[in-house]
Amino acid sequence: MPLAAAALGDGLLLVEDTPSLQMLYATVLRKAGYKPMLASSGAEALQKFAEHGPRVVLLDLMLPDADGLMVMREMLELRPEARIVVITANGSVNNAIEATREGAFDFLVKPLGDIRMIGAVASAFADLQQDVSLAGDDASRNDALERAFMGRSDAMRDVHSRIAAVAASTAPVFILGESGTGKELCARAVHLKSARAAQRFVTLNCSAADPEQLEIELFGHAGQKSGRGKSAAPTRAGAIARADGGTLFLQNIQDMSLDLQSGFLRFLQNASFSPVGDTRLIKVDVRLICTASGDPTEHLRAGRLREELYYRLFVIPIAMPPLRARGGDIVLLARHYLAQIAADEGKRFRKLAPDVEDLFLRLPWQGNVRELINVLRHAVVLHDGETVTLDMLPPGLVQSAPQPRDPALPDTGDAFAGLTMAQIEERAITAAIARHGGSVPRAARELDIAPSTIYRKRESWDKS
Amino acid sequence: MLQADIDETILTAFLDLGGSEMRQALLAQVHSDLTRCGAALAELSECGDMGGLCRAAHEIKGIAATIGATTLSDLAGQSEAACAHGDAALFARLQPELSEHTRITAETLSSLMQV
Repeated sequence: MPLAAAALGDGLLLVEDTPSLQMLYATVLRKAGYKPMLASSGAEALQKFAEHGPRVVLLDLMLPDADGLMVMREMLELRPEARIVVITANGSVNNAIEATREGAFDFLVKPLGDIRMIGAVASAFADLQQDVSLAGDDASRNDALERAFMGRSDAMRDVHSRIAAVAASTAPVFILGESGTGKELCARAVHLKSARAAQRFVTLNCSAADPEQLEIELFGHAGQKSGRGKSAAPTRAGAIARADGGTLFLQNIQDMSLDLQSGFLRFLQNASFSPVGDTRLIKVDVRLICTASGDPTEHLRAGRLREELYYRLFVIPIAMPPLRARGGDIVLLARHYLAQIAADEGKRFRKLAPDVEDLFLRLPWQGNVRELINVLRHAVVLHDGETVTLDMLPPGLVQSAPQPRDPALPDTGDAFAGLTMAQIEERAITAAIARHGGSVPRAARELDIAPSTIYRKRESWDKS
Repeated sequence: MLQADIDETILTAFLDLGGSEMRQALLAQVHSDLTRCGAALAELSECGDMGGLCRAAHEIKGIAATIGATTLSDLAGQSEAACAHGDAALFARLQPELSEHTRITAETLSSLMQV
């Protein structure tokens, strides 16, 4: 059983009127572990959709009693969160493109390849699973967001107000921050607070594919014919088409090849694109949010990011603070995740011992919230009890925390004892950059020096 | 090469999805669908129902492409396009060949059912 489908139940509806094709597709799906409901007409499909609420629908666009596009529209009106993969015959690709513009998750062209069909269904279920925690009505969306973004620190208050301010705009947002700081949650928050909340939020990680594959993932593929009418490259809707009307979230933009960056820039300039293998321009309305690993200005200087693209994308930055800069939020988050993990694992843990909370406030948390969750999961899985104590934490964690300063003693700057001025300077600059989510310009402002000074110093550290 | 112009690689992949029972069931269903569509072509062309002919040709095109009957699929595609554009004369020229290929393909599948 595919994991995503198992987790979500078997909410799959297959709508195909030709009995032999229905039998074939159902066989392929069952072999992959799905248990599809079957419908042979538009009316039957709508009835089963309303009664059983399938989450994913494989829908043939040509039905004996109805236009498949109309059926899809009715389904999405009933439940906009449903993922609909449309099936079209070779030569009717325009209908499929139209369907994706109107909200279809993906489209398949007959004759269907087993792998492509299962891949599309699995992607649809995976996409749903991603959205499931943040789906629902406004109240539950806000609730999910609050849980994801809990925190009373000044740093998080800034993030909250920034999100509220940018949500109404359609300008591109660039989210900065170390790994594990919640950049994707931030992107989802911007989407869910915007007027596009009911539309699709599509994520694409630019480092997860080679350049050719990424181009297809981004722009889609119009399909290619080889001899004997067989499809050499299947038709595929890209992330841009799927995000039409909604939000496209691009992760690790610096890993997009420079050639593809040029093509992407043209899309940003014209708000239209052509799928790979096609010359037609398709106009779309997409709100763009992106992230880069590390400091984007450094990628710019290193030539990994085109200057024009950088300035098009870096319109509204939001910096996600590292966990160590969030003060009391650390304890708040730790308590929240402890309750969640204990429930997941069927354990009794309810609280953290005071010295554990104190330790958590001193740890550097290089892996941010992700590391915090791992530490708590380690304690919960390997131990039992109501309170997490120091001895339950992963080995070495306690030793990695700086010792607390005795408040009775004056601050003599002992933290710098034994360090040279250059080393102290390096520490101060590195800490400032971390506080600002990797942004050198912001760190420079805080330290009251020019960004170029930081870049020069970094170069000298790299050489030494 | 089979009696009808069928790409054996595609047909074998199609038929090898399950065990022998599934193979027989798939063959029987495709045979039944093609026979039904062939009869529909004859019936609908007599009354000149272009919409119905378009749907029948479309259905043949999908089935044929799936089992690797490429000539039949191409013919059905041309016939569907002719109907969609209301070109009755072109469809009338294509129809005898389309019906014949539909019949031969169905017969070929029928012979495979007995193997």
